[in-house]
Amino acid sequence: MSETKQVELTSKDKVSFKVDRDVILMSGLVKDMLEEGDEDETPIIPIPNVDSKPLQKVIEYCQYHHKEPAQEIEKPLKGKIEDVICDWDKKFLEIDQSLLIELIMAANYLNIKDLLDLTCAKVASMIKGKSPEQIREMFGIENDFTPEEEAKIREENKWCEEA
Amino acid sequence: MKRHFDSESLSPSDASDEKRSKIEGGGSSFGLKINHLANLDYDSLGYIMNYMTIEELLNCRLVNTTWNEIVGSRRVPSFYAVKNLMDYCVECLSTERNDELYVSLKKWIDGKLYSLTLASKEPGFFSDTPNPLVVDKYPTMTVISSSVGWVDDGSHIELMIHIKEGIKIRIHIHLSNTEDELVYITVEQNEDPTFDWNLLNIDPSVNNILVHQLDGEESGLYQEVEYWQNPTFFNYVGSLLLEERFRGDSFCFKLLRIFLDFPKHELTSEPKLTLRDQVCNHALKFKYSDDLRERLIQKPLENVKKLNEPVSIMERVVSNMYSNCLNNFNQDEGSLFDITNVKGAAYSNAFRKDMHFIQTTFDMRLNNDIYKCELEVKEVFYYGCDGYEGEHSFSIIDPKTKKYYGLSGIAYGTYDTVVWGKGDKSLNELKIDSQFDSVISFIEFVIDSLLEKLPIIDAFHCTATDSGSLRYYLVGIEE
Repeated sequence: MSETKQVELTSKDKVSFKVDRDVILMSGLVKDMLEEGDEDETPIIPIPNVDSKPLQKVIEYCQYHHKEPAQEIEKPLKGKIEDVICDWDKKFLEIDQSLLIELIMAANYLNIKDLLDLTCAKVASMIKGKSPEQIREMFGIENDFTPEEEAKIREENKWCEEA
Repeated sequence: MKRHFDSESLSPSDASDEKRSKIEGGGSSFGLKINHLANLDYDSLGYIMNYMTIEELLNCRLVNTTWNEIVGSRRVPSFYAVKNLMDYCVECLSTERNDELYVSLKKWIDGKLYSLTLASKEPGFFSDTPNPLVVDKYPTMTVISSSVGWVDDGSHIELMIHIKEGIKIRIHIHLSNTEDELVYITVEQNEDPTFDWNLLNIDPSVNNILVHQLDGEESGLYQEVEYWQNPTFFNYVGSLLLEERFRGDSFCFKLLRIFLDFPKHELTSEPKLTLRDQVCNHALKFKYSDDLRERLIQKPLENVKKLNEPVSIMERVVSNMYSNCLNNFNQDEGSLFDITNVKGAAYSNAFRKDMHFIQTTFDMRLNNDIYKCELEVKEVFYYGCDGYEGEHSFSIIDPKTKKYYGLSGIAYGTYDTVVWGKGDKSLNELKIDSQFDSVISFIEFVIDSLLEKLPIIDAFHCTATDSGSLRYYLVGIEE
């Protein structure tokens, strides 16, 4: 019985992860790189834009979902994300905000659409139902509008309100 | 130093990660929040925004300038379409009263229903790509264009069909609240003398063929043919649309198929009755007419609108902006009587018999008091009696007592106008301190001011129309 082929991924902070080739093929970026390389070797693929912690989570996601395809998340999201994802994904998303954002960047860079969908929908779910002030507070965003600019947008928004 | 881990044996975190997490993610420990989202590029932020409804995006716009820029960009196509419409309306509706533009905007939005139902969920679904559908039976019919329209009094479906080189017909189906179902076939192009119109049982010399109308007077302009009297054409078109290839392909065709299938299917068990007879029977009327209109045509269209939030929001944008525009044109600061903040639209159809539908709210300033007002006009046609009747209401909320007062009006088929102040209802019912000495003098004043600021749409033709017939009807008489 032949041994499963593996790939070695090296993170930005020089941490290496050995992962099954079939698993990491969920990444469009890695897939393209592997197609260009020599199949007989155990390739070492540098992932210079992703730190070890998010990369570890990415691998964790791929290890689960390469066998259990993720369900599509509807746009726009009608309620809480927890209502539309599986239990495994719920647990997977129990992470702090900084790691969540790093995961979005990693999923985007590695071209893993399902993970990008999941993480972006999670952030959207956190924003839902919040006022602009609450959103700023939650993410530490500074309000850089002039009073005139803000008033203009509020005035425009009125056109979308029900008569 | 290079570390090496097997991915299976990694622990969830290590000490250095924990420390970093405290500095970055757990910024609150230091009383300082770090904007992690600032690390995201615009595309990723736009991706997140696509999970928001438009109502939520309105809040997102107000977070900061970056978010406002992203929400209004092509990265968020649903709001991008709404924003473009707002910008367009600001430019076009601010210079002069233009009911035609208002109506065409509404029609344009309604037309999106069709493309939205065909479209994928990907960005770019607002494109106006034509959708030719080809049927390869003889005579081949290519649907060149189609649209689904929707006005408050009903819905209409229009198809332009190319049968062969030089031969084109247009089918227009209109379903209105007046319970008249109308199907017109217009021969748009007849440039092939060899084409046998008998195949379709259509006389091309008649401009419009009214295939089916449940009530109303006959006009010299139209040849009236009851639906089942021209089964060749309709059964043919119906059978084409029943083909598997059309199922699920097109909402428009689905509706048309159901419509065309309706009498053929329902009449098989009761062949001796004509549809007109059936409609006079209230139980059957409900079964055949209301059911058809409400369940098969109006409700699905409403559902599509609900599912496609951009369409309903865009409708709001156009209505709100146009109402505001009309209000701005007609400000009269010095007067003791004024109507402002008018919202809504009036539908008037002078095609054969006047048909009116109005739902509007407005502020009425009278002697320095501002009353919140609402005017509702809705006519209901029925059969076997006078033809139609309407129940209308004009209500106000007293600004001091916050009490609600109403004035009602009715219209019978035998009258051309509203009868205001029926029975004990009179001007006194409104509890307003005014110089008006009768209901009619008051209503006339209100209607004249209101109609200046209310877009008026010919519901049947879906075009802007003048207020003449509507004014005559609404001012009415006092009983």
